[in-house]
Amino acid sequence: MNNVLLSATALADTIANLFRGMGDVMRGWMLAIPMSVAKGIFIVYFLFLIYWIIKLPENEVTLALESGKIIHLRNYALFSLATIVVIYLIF
Amino acid sequence: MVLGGIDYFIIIIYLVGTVLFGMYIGRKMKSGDDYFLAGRSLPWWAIGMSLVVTDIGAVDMVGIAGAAYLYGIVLGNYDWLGSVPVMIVGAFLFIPMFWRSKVSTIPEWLGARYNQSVRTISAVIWGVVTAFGLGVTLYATALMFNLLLDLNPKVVVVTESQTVREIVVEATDAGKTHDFIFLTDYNRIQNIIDNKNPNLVLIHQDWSGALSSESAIISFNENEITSEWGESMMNKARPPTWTLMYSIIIMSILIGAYTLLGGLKAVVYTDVLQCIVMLGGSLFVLFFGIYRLGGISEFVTIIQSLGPRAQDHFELILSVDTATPHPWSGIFLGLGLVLANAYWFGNQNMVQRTLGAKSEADAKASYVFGSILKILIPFAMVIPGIIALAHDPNITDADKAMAILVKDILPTGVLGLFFAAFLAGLMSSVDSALNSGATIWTKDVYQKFVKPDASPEQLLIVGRWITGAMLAIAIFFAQFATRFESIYDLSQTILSLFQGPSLAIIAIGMLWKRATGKAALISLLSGVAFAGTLMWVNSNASVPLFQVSEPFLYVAWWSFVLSVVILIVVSLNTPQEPESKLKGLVYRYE
Repeated sequence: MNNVLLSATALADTIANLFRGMGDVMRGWMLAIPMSVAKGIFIVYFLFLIYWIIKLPENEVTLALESGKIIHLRNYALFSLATIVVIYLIF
Repeated sequence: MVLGGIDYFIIIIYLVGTVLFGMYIGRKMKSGDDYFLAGRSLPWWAIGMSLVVTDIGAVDMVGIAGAAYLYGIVLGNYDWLGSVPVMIVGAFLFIPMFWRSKVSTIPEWLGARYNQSVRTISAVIWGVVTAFGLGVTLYATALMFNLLLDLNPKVVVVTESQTVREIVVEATDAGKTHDFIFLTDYNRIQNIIDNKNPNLVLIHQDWSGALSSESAIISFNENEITSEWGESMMNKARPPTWTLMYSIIIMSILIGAYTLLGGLKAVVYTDVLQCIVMLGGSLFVLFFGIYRLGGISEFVTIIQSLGPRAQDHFELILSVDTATPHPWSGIFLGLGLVLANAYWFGNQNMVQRTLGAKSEADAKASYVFGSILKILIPFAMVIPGIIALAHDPNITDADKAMAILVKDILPTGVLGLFFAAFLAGLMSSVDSALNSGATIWTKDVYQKFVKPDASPEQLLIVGRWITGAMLAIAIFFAQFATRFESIYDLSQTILSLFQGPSLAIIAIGMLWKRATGKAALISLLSGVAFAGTLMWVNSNASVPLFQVSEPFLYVAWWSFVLSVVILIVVSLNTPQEPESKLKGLVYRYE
């Protein structure tokens, strides 16, 4: 049983070593990014989605329900995303 | 504070009311389509509320509040990044395409887009994961149920040393299943025995006082504390009169009653009721908790006064080398780009109710409405975890933080309301998982392999039998959930193995018409194998592969990346699918 455990560890170590060098390099890149820039990445992502929503064709965002009532989903989607931007700016 | 008569009254009224309401809603079930898709009659507001309450089940009420107790507001990312933007993308991109294709399950869509092998593998994976996830949810429920009703067996540890307390809890390995009561005043031992009726009393160092009790009373020295000692102490404890399993079975019977009879329609409309009760109860804990601490500024001051352990508790974005499992890189790549998308468009549990929407407009609007409600969730779930820290910084098991907070601060009557809110969260998660799991097993396995010509009435009967069988399997799995440190991390770890590869084949298949069936199959299998390998290597290597304690976010990200690469490379080297097959299944390709 001990031999099986040892060989499992040896195999895991071998595989881990294949990835570790590459992983350490990428981790180094990530660590070099200042926290303010990291927060900026989140906010840019939300702003990109806001831009995408604004650019969607009218027929994909304004629809008629079965009752015949028209709903304008673009406004609600923008409200939702804008609120998230504010939250990330605060925290 | 323990539950009073009025609390029990509120809880019983709520439970009976929900079960009867669900049974009433589902009384006219006639076919498999009625059972699995509510006869495609659901309005946007009901689906939106159902989506939200299904997502914030008992696992979240226990696990997220517990993680927020330890790590702070960073857990808010799971809703503010992991739900809101993704639901908006889903509303306009993925959900309408699923709805228009008139499928009952995501594996069925994969079968139409790629081939039947992809459908079958995907169905089996999701069917098994759903059953296991149900087990975790039931376990979380039992923990809260026992804690709130004061049903857990109790261990009293009498010592003046904080270190001894911690090593006793660790050595006994009973932090999840027993309530530990720590006592420093040796003169109060008899009083605690009389009031709490503990199953075991452990007294640090020699103490010669006389005690009268049916409990096992044992003196110990810190030098003898080992895991073997802990095990022998627990063996000497008086056996508990109520176990977690009893609570699991009671919950299963209640939820099974209306889910089994009423199907998706009963699930969604009981979820509406549960959403109102749960949001109301949780937001009450938020406001009342802050009020009891003396206001927002006092709350913030208390947290800041806790020093290094809470210095990042109000930071949404944490450094890559944070000691928590939530570095910003993992949150953004693993959660924001993979797990969140996989969850909201690739998870049958979530998507199924939009497939039952009465129109495409209702399906889209439900996700937008759900995203607005989701903004509130961290205020209802995460902040109360931080309030629990300000209220009591010495809780040994973070998963019990929320329960201890509500028991300590809420008055009788309101405690019953909160308990009903908790039950609401629990029931919504379990009923949805049950129904979606049963749909996959019935439509993608039974109907496909056993009886392709099954009538709608036969599918209804089989669906009900499978629902019952899944509940039994979930009860079985619930026994093993105690082995994991954090309930929430456990469920995320399971999902991270499958969600990256699943998302890759769904998203690329929907956005790129060149993706082929053979490539999707190879991509799915390779991705799952790679995710499993990463997890195995991480836990077996002498030095863990990932430098965070729970690497599920990174595992999801890298398995997704590998699956996308394989899907693209193999697709470009295999013959293109016929154009007629792709119409309506690829974005803007009608």
